[in-house]
Amino acid sequence: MTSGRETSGTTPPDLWDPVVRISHWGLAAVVLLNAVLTKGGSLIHVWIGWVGLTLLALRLVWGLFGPAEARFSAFPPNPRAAIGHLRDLVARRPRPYRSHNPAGALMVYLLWALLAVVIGTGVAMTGTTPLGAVERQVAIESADWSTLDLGESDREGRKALEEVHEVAANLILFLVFLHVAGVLVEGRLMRRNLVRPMLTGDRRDTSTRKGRPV
Amino acid sequence: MTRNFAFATLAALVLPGAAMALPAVGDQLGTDAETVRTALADHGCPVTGFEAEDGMIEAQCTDTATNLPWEFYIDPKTGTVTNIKQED
Repeated sequence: MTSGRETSGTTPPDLWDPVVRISHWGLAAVVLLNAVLTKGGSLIHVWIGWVGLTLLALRLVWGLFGPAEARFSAFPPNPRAAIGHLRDLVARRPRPYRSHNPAGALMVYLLWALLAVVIGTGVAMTGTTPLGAVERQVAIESADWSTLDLGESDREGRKALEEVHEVAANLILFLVFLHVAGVLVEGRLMRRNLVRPMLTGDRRDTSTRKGRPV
Repeated sequence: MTRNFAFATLAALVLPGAAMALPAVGDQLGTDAETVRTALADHGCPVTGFEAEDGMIEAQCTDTATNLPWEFYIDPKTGTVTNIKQED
């Protein structure tokens, strides 16, 4: 398996494509909103979770059919290469990669896997369509509760799902903290703004950056 | 006179509080939203929302006396309060 490292001196894009940027910031917003602002199990929490599922699915499809730097083949998971990249960083000799660097790539895959776990357990607890949560809420407001199936027959199973959901969500928050810290530290060591390409891009020095080790 | 005034003041402070005491675990509130809404309002805790959680119905309300939010977990089959939490 390759590390996605380029020997020809190419660098990550000065501006990531719109799907990568929208899915990146959209998923960041989903995590922030559902971890901090909304109440677990509430209708808004469930709907934001469905938005997260859509964004994650979009990004995964883009990993197969998107531009070269967005494809999985450009940043395969490779723990050994990730350690090597961190060593290079400590030695202040970072090398160029055409997409996410190996440490960033590992982080991306871990975050996607955990997001899939959080969303999957969320769907298992609240129903297989976003409308299922709405229908249940309407039933709670209008029907006799003794006639509703609220999952009380499998309370242990629901409890287990909830535990996994919460542990995975907390792991995501921890990884997000590491990710932000990594971006700040690496950006400082490389003297390069790593956030801008994920926001608006920087086309001012594209010509000079090409071929320069980053 | 002073003693009567003290009793009257004490009664004015304590009795409404006693009348508006929140339901306790084991109390029956009802098995539908409308009944529970009325029951909690009578206890001085108007309902702000209902949710399903862990097979229970969670009724959220705000105690008008203290302005504190509460969560009452109600068994949907029996209408009995099974747990009470101050809302987080």
